[in-house]
Amino acid sequence: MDRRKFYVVGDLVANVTIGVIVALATWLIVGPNWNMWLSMISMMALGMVLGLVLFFPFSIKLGAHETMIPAMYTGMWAGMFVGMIAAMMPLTMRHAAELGAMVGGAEILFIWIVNTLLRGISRETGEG
Amino acid sequence: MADLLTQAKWDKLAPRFDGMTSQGAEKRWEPAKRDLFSHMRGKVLFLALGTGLDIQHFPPGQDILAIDISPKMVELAQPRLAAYEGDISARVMDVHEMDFAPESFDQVFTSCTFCSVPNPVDGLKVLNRVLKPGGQLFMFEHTGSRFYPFRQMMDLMTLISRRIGPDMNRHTVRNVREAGFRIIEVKNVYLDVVKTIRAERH
Repeated sequence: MDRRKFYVVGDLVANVTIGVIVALATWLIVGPNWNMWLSMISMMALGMVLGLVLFFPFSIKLGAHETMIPAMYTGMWAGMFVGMIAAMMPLTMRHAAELGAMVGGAEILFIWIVNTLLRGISRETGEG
Repeated sequence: MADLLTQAKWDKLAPRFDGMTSQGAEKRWEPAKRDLFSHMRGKVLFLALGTGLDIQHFPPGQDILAIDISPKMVELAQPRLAAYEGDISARVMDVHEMDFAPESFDQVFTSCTFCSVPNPVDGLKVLNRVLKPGGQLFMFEHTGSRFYPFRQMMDLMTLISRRIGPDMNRHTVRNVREAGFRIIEVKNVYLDVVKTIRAERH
């Protein structure tokens, strides 16, 4: 895990921001009359695409790989999660934004944990 | 004849290259790159030079020949080449068509190179040929991932990224082995996607 404060805070801010934006876009599109599965799948795809676009301004200071990979996952999960809830019940804009922020924070935490496990010298047989 | 499509792609990207990478990736990867380049000894071949951003991480006083397929990149690298405190020169050259005599170099260093070389195993075989027996290959590369869900995501990203620049899903460690090198060490820098590879010519 990158322990430099700038990158720790930067990664968190980037993913929370992307999570909120994707959640708000989903909230604008999906209503309680939507089929839940259709909403989840379509908003997951939309979230991925938005993540792939929104990572770019953050990548200029934080690095392309370190922003692109988490941003796509944050977009995917935020779209799917908020899409599911928005299809099941009426959702306020604030609630949608909070859910998006939560997903963004959880996603970057997941990436930090995985990165901590994978970083360092790998087995000599490791591919990739 | 050089791969004109690859050359044109990187020539087109050259004016925007520093803006895209100098503040983000270069700063973030600086510790790992400095660590890798600290192994430079003897006659060194470096690829791909790009706009010369990596030169700031080279230890001073080395004897380095750098190549890049893009004339525009090499042109933009001139100030950084001039500022290096050591013996460094640059040539426009395609890795597939390197005209160096066999066993010309003690070491070869690469930096984000084999994400873009069209035929990576062939290119690595050329590096094997120009290395002296026992010579070492040091690589700083981004590759695909072995793990779900990153592997699938890198495959998806490559559909877009290869149109403007590099592939995101290369199996570079496997390619190095296939080109006849013995892997000494693979060190992950970010996930198992950004990594350093150290290998030796058999």
